[in-house]
Amino acid sequence: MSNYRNDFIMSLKEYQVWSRLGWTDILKKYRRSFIGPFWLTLSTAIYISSIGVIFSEIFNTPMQDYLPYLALGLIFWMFINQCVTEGAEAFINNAHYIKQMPIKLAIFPMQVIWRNFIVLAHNMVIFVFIAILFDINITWYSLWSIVGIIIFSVNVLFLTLSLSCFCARFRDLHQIVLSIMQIAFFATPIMWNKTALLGQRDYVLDYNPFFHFVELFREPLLGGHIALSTVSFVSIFTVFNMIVAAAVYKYSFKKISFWV
Amino acid sequence: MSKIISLKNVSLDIPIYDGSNISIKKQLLSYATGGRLAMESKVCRVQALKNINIDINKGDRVALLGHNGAGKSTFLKLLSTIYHPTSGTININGEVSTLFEVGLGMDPEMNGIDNIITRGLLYGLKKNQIVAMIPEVVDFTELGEFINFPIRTYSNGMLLRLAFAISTIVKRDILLLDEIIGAGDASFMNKAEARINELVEASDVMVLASHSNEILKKMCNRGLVFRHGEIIFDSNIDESIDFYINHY
Repeated sequence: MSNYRNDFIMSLKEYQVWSRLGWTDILKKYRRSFIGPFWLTLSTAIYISSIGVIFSEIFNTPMQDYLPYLALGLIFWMFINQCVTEGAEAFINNAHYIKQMPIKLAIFPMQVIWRNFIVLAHNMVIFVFIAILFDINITWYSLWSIVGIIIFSVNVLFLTLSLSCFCARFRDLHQIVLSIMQIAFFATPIMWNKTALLGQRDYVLDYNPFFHFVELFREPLLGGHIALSTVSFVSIFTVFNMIVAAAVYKYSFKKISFWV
Repeated sequence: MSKIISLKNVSLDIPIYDGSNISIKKQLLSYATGGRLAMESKVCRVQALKNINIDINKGDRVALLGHNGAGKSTFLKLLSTIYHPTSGTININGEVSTLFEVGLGMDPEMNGIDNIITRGLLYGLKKNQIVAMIPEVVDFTELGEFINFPIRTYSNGMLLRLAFAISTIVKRDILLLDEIIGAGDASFMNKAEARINELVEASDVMVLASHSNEILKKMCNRGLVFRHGEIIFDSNIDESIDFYINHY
């Protein structure tokens, strides 16, 4: 009657709930400010341009090559990072609901992903400006990056489903997740170019799921092509991820209300 | 009489997690060192409900009696599928609505209408259903123009009225209530009571936990007395209250 699979499917169907919760999270933060959620865009824009100016000097790369690459990488990394770190706390942060009313549990990770998708959409305004500024050629192939966002969202949903179960049971795990994401940021070519690592320590890129997800999003928009190795890695990762999530959620589902 | 809720040999152990057993570092260390440390980190369990066998039929208005910690609230959480039994089986035919904590999930930054919509969605209503209900809910709260203000500007009384109105918008087959009696001015208390009665009328089964024998007597027709997680008495409401008073 109420099992983990039913919970997941019903949560997807109750899109009105998680989309509203996600959207009101954003509104709440910016309700009393003049430009509203575009504060997100503005602060990201400042962040990107300052790093862009400094690092294009350090790496000795022309701005028109470096800035689009950095902007897309950072914007998507922010999406990845927030989804994972906030998603890991999805159950803990909603303990009051989980303990006080019969509610579908999987709506909470979905809420986190939806909220951050809205942030991503706002931040993409920056790329539009950059694309106009540096005259970046947008083609039909660029649309693949939307597919990239969807594939990552599906993956991060399963990932946070497992993570939020673990983090509800073991409270210090969230700190470990934060540290891992920090290291992952430096191990993923966002500030630096991936060609810098080619031929040496290939494994840093080959087995870094975040690298492949960033590639899925970034390459089509920069006029590049998605490598076959990325497609095959992501496919295998997705299947693996779903199996793990199903197993973890099945085991945890009836215990979550005790854990939170 | 048709069975709406049926519990067979249901027991519930609630694990208590504290300092060391919610830490993955300590868990891993205890595997590494074994023995004594592993013993320390064992999760302690409270047997909250023991061997519950009960059928609740259509038309039953069930009162839960018992001391604090006797298992009343836990029993309600079990019926609402917030908790799942450790052993035994529960069968529930019908949709459940709960009223455990009136102010749950109210957002101080949002206005009254937005709070109504969010809560309605959380209760499993569709957005268009809620929008259709809004005039009636607003009318009930008597908040007038204030409904468009952020609820952080409300007084306690206004908050209570809104919270109560929001909490009672869903009508379902099975109604579970836990200590719903709050403060408020006298005229509102009468309205609140009338609204609760409306909900109860619309439901097939109502289960109510309260410490007020007066309210239980007025609203219920059957009483269950809990002690240490077991149901020790099950009869009509008057006998149950007498039993409860005489034995405690």
